[in-house]
Amino acid sequence: MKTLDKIPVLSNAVVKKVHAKGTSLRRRLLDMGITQGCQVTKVRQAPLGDPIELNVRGYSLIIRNEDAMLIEVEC
Amino acid sequence: MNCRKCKGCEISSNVLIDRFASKRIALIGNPNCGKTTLFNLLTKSHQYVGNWPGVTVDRVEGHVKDYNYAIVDLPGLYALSPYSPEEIVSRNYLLSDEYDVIVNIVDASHLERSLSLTLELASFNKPMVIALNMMDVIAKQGISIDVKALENALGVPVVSMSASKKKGEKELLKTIAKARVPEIEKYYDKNVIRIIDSVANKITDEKSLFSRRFIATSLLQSDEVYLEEHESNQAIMDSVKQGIKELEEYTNTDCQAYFADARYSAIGRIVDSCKKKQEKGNSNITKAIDTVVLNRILALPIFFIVVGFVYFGAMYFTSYLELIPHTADGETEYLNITDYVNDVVFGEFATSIVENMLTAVSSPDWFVSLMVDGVVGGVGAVLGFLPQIACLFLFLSFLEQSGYMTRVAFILDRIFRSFGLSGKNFIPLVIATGCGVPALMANATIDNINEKRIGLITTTFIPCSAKLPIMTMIFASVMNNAWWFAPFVYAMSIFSIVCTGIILKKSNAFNESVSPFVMEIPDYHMPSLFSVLKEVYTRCRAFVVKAGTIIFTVVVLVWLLSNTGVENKNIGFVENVDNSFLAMIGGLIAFIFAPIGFASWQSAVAMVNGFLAKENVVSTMAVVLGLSENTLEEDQSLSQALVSFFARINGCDENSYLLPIIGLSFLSFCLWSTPCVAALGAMKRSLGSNRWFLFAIFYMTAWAYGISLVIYQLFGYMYGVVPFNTFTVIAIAVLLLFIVLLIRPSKHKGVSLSIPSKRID
Repeated sequence: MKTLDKIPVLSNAVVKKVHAKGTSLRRRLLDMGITQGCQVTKVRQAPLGDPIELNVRGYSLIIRNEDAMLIEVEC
Repeated sequence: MNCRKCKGCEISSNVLIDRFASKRIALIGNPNCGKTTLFNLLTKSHQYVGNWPGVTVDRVEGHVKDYNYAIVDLPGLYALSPYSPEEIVSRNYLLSDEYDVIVNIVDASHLERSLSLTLELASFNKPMVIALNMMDVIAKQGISIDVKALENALGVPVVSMSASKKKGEKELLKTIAKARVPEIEKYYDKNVIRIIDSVANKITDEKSLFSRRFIATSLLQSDEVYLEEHESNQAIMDSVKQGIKELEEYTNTDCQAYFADARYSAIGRIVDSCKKKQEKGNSNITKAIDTVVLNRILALPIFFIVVGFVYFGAMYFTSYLELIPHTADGETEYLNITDYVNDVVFGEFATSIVENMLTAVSSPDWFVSLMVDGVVGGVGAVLGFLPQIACLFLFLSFLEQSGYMTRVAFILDRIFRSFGLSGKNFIPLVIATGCGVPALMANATIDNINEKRIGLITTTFIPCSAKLPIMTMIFASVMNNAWWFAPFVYAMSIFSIVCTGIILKKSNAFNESVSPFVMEIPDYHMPSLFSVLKEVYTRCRAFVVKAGTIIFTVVVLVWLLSNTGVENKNIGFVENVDNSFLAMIGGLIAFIFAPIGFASWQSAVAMVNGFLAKENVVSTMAVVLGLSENTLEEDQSLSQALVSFFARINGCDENSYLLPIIGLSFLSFCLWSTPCVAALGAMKRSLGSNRWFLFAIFYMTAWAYGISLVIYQLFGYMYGVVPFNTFTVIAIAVLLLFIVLLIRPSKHKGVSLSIPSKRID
């Protein structure tokens, strides 16, 4: 299963599913627009590899790798 | 009624304005959408800051004079989930009947995401107006929005604006009268609306009637707060269960995902109808700057340069740079700003004015001393920090408002996260090497309340410049200039910070629910001089008022205790500090320091004076050892006197290993226990409640005492200079306790879950 933390920097992906049902984090990701079928670009990583910056729905978002692990994508 | 200057009836004047306002407005929007600028524009300076009960969120209200509108500025948020204090506070406010119109600020340059909140707000069934802000930004990007089309699609009036350019304000105020209730039927599938209503209709509680659809939609998304609230209502719970089942069958996905998806699909249609060009993210300038500033290799060096500037502004410029010429006794020397304020403005100028005034009316000596040394000294102690605080916040607000601080959090998160802090904690720590007061105030920019609290407790572990003389005094006397001394001190400081973070992070008290670490990186934005200056003023004022009262009180109190006592069988003012009440109190409490090696009234008094200002420790020790109070810390006579003193009270030889151990123990307690009263004042002001403040004091004192205990008892025993005694055992126990606290499993799961793969469904 491909998740957002594993895709290479500067690649585009389409969100397939957001896991971790019932958590505040999932709700937050959904509210911020990371929903099924939406386009996401991994723009960069922080100097130490974590967190990552994403481009989604026309704006920039930062999330941690351990949370990006919950976002299943297809490239 | 111009009551804004009176803090006493702040609350009642709000209520009056609220009650007599022609309309009450709830202002809400995403963070970084220009809401604060708009709020300032509408209310000018008629604003009041209070607190939402039960949470550490500011409640900001204002008054629009010309129209007599009362506005509540709700915290910036992205959605109305039940998870973070800002969202809960806003939901509750929106559910109340305390307002008439919702003004939703939408960022035109991030339209798609901004409308998510808008659609959630629609289910509150209240009249709404959209303030479409940042129109100037999209104009520069060559994007245009058909405002009429947007109005039609949303079903509410939309006012095109640019708050930073002061355009659209009048139009907005006029349009508020024409606010309309949005119809969510326009956005969602008929079937879904039917299911929402099937739950909504079961909510018969009068107060919630108008916003039942919001509550119903939340319940269907398994909203914990409402589920708990309506637990006992069987009808509602059944309809929710039924609704979820139907919805999940109908849409083939879970409800939470469904509603987010439905919202964004509706938004997609709305945006398509009014905008042709697709947004590509942040503005080109922002992207260009970030390519450099967030570059994997350049990010850290650039960050250190920026921090260097902040430090330069706050510390070097105010406390080291010798700018101001001052002539005394025919000699001119150049003073730095802080010294000028402390020594000249207060030390000479204010002192002589007060002295002259009082002698002119023949005041008794003791009163003159009270006013000059006590009161003027006390006030001076507070106001003396203003240059540093003002300069610090000049730089910090600029950084914060420009958007750079979010980048800082991004760059440093990985390192700091593991011990309960964040990237934003780094700057206060750097400033702390200069002075703890502005450093503690710098923690104000940290949003995560847990990180902020841990930050406030650990910031003063870094030795400030006032503690350097103490270090030098010990170094020159009992440490025999050991090379490892300075590295030891700084390593121990960092060790204290890291361990404290790890220990505190494990407890529930420091895991208050906060928004998950999912942050937007906003466009860079040139802060307006007005808003930066306004923040500088607000911070300085807060410091003077809140921190100032404590500092002032303590200074006067200590002055009183050190100048009065029993001399020659008379109670009154004393010449010799040995006879003061302070010395007596020192003698009484000296035994507390026995287990850590320096039980004597002299060191106790030094500690108390150090409480006023850490540099006093050196001058106090000099005085109690019979030397002049102006003796320098590296002075041979002081070193010699100190060595003899420590040797005498412990009954050992001057070459004994015991002396450096005592020296280290004494130093540890001075450095890592509670900071000076000014810093404590700043800490209390920043922590907010007495409860947290007392905990901070307790923790720091316990920490320092623990270190001193381990040094004196365990190292003392190891070197054979301290006999085995009960406290040796206690010291071992303390060490064990520390290890346990450090490695125990965290009681708290953490906001972002680390999900092992088998839990992914």
